[in-house]
Formats: sequence, C-alpha cells, structure tokens
Amino acid sequence: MSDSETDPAEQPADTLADEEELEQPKDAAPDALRILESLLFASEELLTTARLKTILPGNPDARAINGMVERINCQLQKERHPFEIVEIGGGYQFKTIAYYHPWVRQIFQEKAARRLSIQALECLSIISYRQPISKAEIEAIRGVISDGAMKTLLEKRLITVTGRSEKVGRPLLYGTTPEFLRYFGLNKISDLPKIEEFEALVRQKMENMPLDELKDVKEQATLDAADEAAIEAAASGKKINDGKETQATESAPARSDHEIVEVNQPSDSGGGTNPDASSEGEATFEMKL
Amino acid sequence: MKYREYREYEVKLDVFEGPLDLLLYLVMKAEVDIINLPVAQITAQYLEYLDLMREININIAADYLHMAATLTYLKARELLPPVEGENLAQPEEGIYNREELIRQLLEYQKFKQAAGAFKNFEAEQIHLFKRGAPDSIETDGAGDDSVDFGTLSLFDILSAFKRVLERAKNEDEYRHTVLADNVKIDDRIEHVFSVLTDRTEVRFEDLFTDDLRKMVIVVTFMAILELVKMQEIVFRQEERFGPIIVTRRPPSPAKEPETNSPLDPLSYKKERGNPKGEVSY
Repeated sequence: MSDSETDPAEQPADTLADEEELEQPKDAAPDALRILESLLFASEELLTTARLKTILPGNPDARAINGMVERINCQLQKERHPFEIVEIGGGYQFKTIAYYHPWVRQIFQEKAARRLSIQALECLSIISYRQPISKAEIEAIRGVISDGAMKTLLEKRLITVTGRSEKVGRPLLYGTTPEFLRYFGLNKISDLPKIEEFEALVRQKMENMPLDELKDVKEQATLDAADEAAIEAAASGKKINDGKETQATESAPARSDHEIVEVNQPSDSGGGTNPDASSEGEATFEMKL
Repeated sequence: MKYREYREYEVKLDVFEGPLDLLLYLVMKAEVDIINLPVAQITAQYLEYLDLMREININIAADYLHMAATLTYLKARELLPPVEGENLAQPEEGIYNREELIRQLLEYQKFKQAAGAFKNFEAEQIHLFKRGAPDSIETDGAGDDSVDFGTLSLFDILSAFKRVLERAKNEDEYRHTVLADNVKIDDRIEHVFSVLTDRTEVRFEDLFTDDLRKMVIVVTFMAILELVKMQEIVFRQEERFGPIIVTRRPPSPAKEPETNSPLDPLSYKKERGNPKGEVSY
C-alpha cells in the first residue's frame, strides 16, 4: 500500500481524511469536533445549539453543528463506542446505545414505579395535543377528576401553567415543557404522532354513521387538525392569528375561546428566545417549548 | 341493608378508572362499535357494576353516579316518544343525547390510544441512559391503596366476581344466612392460600367453590383483593374477557440481563468479534 513516510496525502491521525463521504464545512477547524465532544461529555444536561454556537470556535450555525454531531457519531459507531449523541428537547446529549441497556440499567435501580401511571399519561396526551388547556377541560374529556395525575405531572415538570383563560373563573391553562420532550425522547412537539393517526381508528368506526351525525363528528376531527396547526404556529413563536400560517384558526373555536390575559413565562431552559407575542387581540399567546 | 353488617371488612381500593373507562369496557365486552352504542343494554350493565362495587364497599367516585344519571336519562329519552321542539331545550354542557355520549367516548378513546403510544416512548427512553445524573424521577406517588391487577382492569375482576355470584345464585346454599362474626377475612385468606398450595395455579372461580353462601363469597372476594394488594397473588388472562388465572406471586428474582439480542442491529451488522455472537437476520 502507500508508503506512509512519503505519501503526501497522509494526514495526522486526528483529522478526518477517512470521512470522505461527508461534507467538510469550510469553517470547521480540525479540532472543533473534539471541542464539541468534550462539551457534551462534560455537561450534565443537554446543550442547546445556541449555547454551543457561542462556545465553539468559528461560531457554527445550527446546521453546521448538526453536521459535526453526525460526524462524531459516525466515528463513535466506527470505533464501536457504546454511546452516541442524540438531539432531544432542542439540544444535544450523550446517550448509551440501547444494546447495552441490560448492563447499564443494573447500576441504576429501575423500579416499575418510575413510570407514569396511565392516568398521568392520559392527561399528558390530552395536554400535549390540546394545549393550552384547562384542568376542567381535561377532566371533561376523561370523565374523572384528575387532581392526582395533574399534581404528578406538575411535580415532574412535564407540564406547567402557561396562562389563564378569559372564561368564567379565569382557570389556569396548562401546556407541556422542554422536560416533557426530553422525557419522551422528542425534539419538538411536532415529533409527536399526528393526532389523525389515532383519529383514523375513530374514523373507521364512523363509516356506518348516518350523515348528519357524521357531520358533527367530522367537525370535531377538523378541530383537532386546527388545534395542531395552532400549536405548531405557537411553538415557533408566531401569533396564532397570523392568517398566513394556519387558515384553520378561524374555525377553531375551542382554541380561540381562550383569550389569554396573563402569561406566565416558564423558566427559560437556555434555548433560543422566541419573539414576544404579547397578548393582544384574540387568542394570541406565547408558548415556550 | 343487612349486608352492611360486614362493613368492617371494607377493602380500601384506589379506583383510577372512571365511568368512561367502564363504558368503554362494557362496549368492548359487548363486542359492538361505540357508534352503535346500545344505550338501554349498556345502562343496565353499567348499573349492575355500580351495584357490585357497592357490594364490596369500593369507594365510588361521584363521577360514576353522574354518569349513571346521564345514562338513565338517555335511556328514558329512547323509550319516550319524541316531543315537538324538544331539541330547543338543550343544556349547554354535558351529555344530552346519545350522539354526544358517543362523541365523548370516541374522543376519550382517541386520547387513551395516544397515551398508549406515549407509554411506549417512555419505555424506550427509560432504556437509554443519558450522560450525567440519572433522571431523578421519584416513584409515581402510588398510594398504599393502589392495587396492581397486572394487565387486567378492575372491571375484568368485577366481571369474574359477577359470574361467580350469578352461578352461585342457582344453589340453595347461596341463601343461607350466616352471622357476620362467623365470616372472617383472615379465614378466607387462609383458604385462598391453601387452594393455591395444592395447585400452583387455579381459575378465579375455583377459589369460591368451597362455600357458596353469599356473604362468604363476598368476603372471599375481599380477601382476594387484599392478597393482591399485599402482592401475594397475581392475576393473568390468556385472552381478553377470558377466564382469569390466579397464582402465588413468586419471590422477585435477582435481575439478570435480558436476552442478548441487540436492539440496534444496524450498528453491529458488520461487526466481527462481537462478544455476543453473530447476529442473524
């Protein structure tokens, strides 16, 4: 093979000559990858793209950082390291590979009780698709009082108060948190399966329904698509009533019923700041995820 | 009612299932679609289950009673001839007609399914350990009165209990009265243990065959619930709505690594010298 002494193409061991198949961004210094790795290794919590950008040499943008992460993962895999970098909850973090779970879990005492009860999961699923939503609305869907489950979810910081409704009694409204995303291994709310998937089951059953009944139920189904669109719009910090984003907002009475006056800002987890959508007009609110 | 005599044997149970859960259970059991909800039939069954829960002194949440009233109202509407202009007097909230109940059931079921998906995500994540301190998620705050029926629901257990009572009604012995003092829950616990000693696993109904007096059946059922609470016995069902098998709970084994099959085969497809052996697809 080539003579390593005189081969002009030979590179020092710590550069990436063998990563030919991946693009090398021009502004990435050779040891930026190692710096990134060391940051992720040292930090006990996930590091957001914004934070990494300020520390890494060359201030790479999100795309560049993502590329760097991919390259590191490639190397890790190649060298058969039992961990990788994952993108969860808007940031990056090291994680062991599932294959090694049977051993790793033995150093942590895994109790079945660590998991959420089905009641908490039901509340959580309702909140994540319908946020912001009040406790009374959650209970109306489930048909039971949900104090215990809500308390658990608040304690675990999977949900938080995101404002107050304008309705009678001015009830508190709840939404999911960045911790929620982490807990379920999601990167953003839109990573959740579409509610339509669960609706498909519902629609199947509707085939035999008489027409006028069907109309009522179909409206409800559209409502959920509108809910989702509204959530997406809010999640990216835009006003709900921006007609360009979601044409369905006009026909989403369930959402726009909540004219939110006070907005409690959940503590910033260090992620990118969303533009302040002040609570003017109807149904505009800021939801920080 | 004379059965209050054995109120001292109250089995405290946290009932997490709500009236919609019971309705969904009954609909599934009846093998009908929610769309075709047979109100009269479901209402009758629903009330039977409420009676059962009262029988064993389970604390029934007000929500159950509210639903009982709603169902009865809907049933009455079905029986009565429609009145002109009736639809003008709809209340703003609540279930005022069959379609509204159906809609609520469908919506609830949708979120139940979503919750199931969430459960899977959670399970996947718990298997992947993050660098740094493990998630400090405390126990779920399950109280002492929580009971783990495994994959079964409270309603499955009640159904089995209902069947036992119904079969026993045909026997004369059923109606023999007995003084409350003579039926001790400890005795019935002992009885359950003795049955399970002879045979490692029994059918649920086999635990009641020795004494068919109604009060004894009820106290035996309470004894069984206590044993599940104490984690002495477990339930199993081979198929949904099938017979329930009861076994002694084995002492928890020392945790061993699960099977060594890799969960992420692609990483190891071309690995050589994999200590766990070749992976085949």
